[in-house]
Amino acid sequence: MLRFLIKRLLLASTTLVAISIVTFLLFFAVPSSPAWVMCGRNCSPERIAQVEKSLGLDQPLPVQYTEFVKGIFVGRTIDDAGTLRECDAPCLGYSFRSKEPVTDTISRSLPVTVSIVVGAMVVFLTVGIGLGMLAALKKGTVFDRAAIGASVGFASTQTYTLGGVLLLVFVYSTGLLPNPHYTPITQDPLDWAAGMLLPWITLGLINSALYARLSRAQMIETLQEDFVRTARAKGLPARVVTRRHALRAAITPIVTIAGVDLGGYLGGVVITESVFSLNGIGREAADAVADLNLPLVMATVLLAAFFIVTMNIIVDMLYAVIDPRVRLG
Amino acid sequence: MRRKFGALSVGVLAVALVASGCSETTNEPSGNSDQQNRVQTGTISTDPAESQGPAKAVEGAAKGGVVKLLHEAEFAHLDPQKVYVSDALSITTQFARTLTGYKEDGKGNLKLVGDLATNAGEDVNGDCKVWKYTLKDGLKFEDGTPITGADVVYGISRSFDPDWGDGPTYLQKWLTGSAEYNTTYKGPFKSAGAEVPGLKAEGNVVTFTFPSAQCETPYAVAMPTSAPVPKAKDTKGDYDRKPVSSGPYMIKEHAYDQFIEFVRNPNWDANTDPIRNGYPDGIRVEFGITAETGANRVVADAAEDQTAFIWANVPAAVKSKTNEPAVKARVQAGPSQYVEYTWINTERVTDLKVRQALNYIVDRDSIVKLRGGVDQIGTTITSPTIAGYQAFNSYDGGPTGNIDKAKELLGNKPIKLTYAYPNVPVRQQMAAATKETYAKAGVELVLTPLDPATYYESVGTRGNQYDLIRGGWGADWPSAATVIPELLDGRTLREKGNQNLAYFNSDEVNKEIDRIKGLKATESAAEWAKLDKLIMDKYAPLIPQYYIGNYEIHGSKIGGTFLSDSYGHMTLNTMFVKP
Repeated sequence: MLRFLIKRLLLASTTLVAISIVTFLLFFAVPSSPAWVMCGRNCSPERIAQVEKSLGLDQPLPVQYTEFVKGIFVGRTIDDAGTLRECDAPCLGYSFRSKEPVTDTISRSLPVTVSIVVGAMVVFLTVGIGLGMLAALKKGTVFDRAAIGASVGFASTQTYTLGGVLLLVFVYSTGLLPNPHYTPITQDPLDWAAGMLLPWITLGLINSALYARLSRAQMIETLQEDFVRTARAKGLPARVVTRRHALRAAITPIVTIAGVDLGGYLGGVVITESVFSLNGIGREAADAVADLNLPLVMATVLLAAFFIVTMNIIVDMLYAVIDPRVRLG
Repeated sequence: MRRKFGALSVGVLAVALVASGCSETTNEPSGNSDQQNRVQTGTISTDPAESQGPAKAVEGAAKGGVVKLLHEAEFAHLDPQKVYVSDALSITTQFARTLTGYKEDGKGNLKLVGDLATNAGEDVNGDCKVWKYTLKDGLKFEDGTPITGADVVYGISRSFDPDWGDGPTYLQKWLTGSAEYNTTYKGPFKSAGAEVPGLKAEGNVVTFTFPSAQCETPYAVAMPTSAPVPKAKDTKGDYDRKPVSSGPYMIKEHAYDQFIEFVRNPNWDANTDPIRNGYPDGIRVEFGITAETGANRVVADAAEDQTAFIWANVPAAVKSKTNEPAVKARVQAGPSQYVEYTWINTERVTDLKVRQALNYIVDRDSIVKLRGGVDQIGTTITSPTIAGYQAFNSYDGGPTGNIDKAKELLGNKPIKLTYAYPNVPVRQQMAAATKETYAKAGVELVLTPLDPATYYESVGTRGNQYDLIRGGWGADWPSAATVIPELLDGRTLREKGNQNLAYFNSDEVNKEIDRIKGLKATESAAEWAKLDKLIMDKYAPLIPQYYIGNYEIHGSKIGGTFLSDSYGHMTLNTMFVKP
């Protein structure tokens, strides 16, 4: 187990380093400069050069990259247009736009995304897996058809459609729900939930469709496996057969997908965040790309990659716990 | 020029533009049905009584309540010496007072009066070279320290810093007499102890001494460049987050990208302020709310949004909901200082007849409709919000253009031209429509969509291969002096970074520019209007398309506001919360 973990961690850090280098290179391959974005059109070539210098973009690439890496481990001093700023480790740089440490931007916007994603996951895992399992057990009945039919319907809608409709109905027309907003859970848990309700429902319903179909298929397949037949033959009650034997086997691939989904979503749910005017990490990332805000682009890309890589490791380890056939060596 | 929030900027809003562009089609019956036609009658006040506070009470107004701005993105800047985009300029009026300011009544009467100063400016020798401003008594910063002439000078000195330069650069260029204004004096951080060229403070008196006549100084010092900054409290780069207030409101809390909470500044004295009423107890700005969401919320008028407003045009998707009379009453619509052009590169299209023909062909009606029907057909270089504006159309082909007249000028010969525009959806639609119209007159347009992020870099480079170029311009103050010389003075042409996208250079026009610049602001307005017409009649270096319109909305509990002709958004000066 330990050897497996060390191996995976080494691989993960190599992946992150590779991603950071590629992002860095891609950024400089774009035929545009953040300086142009920052000074709009009222700009002289002299001013462009000045802005580039103040952002440190006039330095050779390897120097800039080394500075960046150095910042992460030991911190560095950044010259922001004449104002010297101490940036402690882990320093991901100063945002070109907001002139604050990128870590501040992240710590402000990440909780918003985490709130959306965790709540939505609760919705789509319970609704999705619940419906799927029930449909599998009642295969061929009206319930099965209705549940799977509805799930196809939700899967074919998009966040901006469903979200827009929900906003229109529950917020703009009837005023039954407040405008989606973010309140830290530590400050007011009820308000936190109230503000997040619509994003949870939207993202939750759309994704539950996938999970419903997937868990139904898995469950049906598992129920036909030999070990299930054996369990039944032993005379175990149906409840024990489905819960203890079939469910556990059927859920393994779903854990994989849920884990990878969680990793992906934590990196930002841009469309959901935009539809509901929530300033999460996804919107920051999208804006950073549009602004050519290198430090923030690097940070959001690395963070997203970190989540995916980490979730993959966790999923692999969970396998060993859930699936008796898997042993990590 | 000043960039308009949401309309011309590329960076932060590129995504938003793309998103909203998809929905920017509509079936409005007429291009300018929503406009109240107003003509700017702005003047510089000569009566010092007009510069005295308090501001005239607004009928039915009461103190109290908090107004709420639902805004798409964080302000580019709040540091008064860096502010330049229309939304930031509008909010800055509430915490950074300037030497002069605009007093408006919402009916087109705009008067430039003394704000911090006792009058709009004293032209000491009558030659526009030396301007004297005396500060009023009783002015204080939010911490209670008195505002002196030295604070104003210190504020202006900051704008010289070579690392900044985000704000307007008029005063700096005028004081040094050079476009490269910060080669010697580099601001208080890099040239500590040195004196600001041409600028002096003695007690409450600030004196500007310019090497050449600058008759529009009263306008230039209305920009936040002249806002006082207390040296002891200057946090340099961080000042942008939390500037020290001299106006009715000060920042209590600023969570970047999330919200700003403004509260009353206890040290602001209404009796010194001729412009701002300061009715609400506070202003809350919430960021991250797109124009569409904001408009939807304000239209819906739920209890929490009844005191809300937006500083963006109601997007086409929501606009139909504003036709209901009760909602329409909450809309403020009118022209802005921004004019949209198609530039004709005169170094490539040298034949005047061709340029005139291109002016005859344009179908402004269809373009305005494509944009959602908020704009007003435009045929002049300057906008109707400019003092002295005269309506004319040198090449009147009617709202949809005159193909026959154009063919005649072209001698029925087919020509081929390249057309450059930023590659965003609404521009693509406009380009396609334009190509179709021009084809009818035998003009083949080769469409060349360009990367929006580097658009101005590409088209602003002399010797580019574009014949027609999309562009726009907004005056910094209601005078054509910030339009015509900035755009069409051929002596400013350089290799890169041009604003004169026609690459137009005429001795006659350059001489006129110099002559009019030497006139008093009161006399020059009519002369600029004449020059506008002369350029169009005789040279046709561009095709005016439309005056960009504003169409903003506020909640049912907001009263007293109107579109400001100075900064183009609903004014906070007179806004109040209905009891």
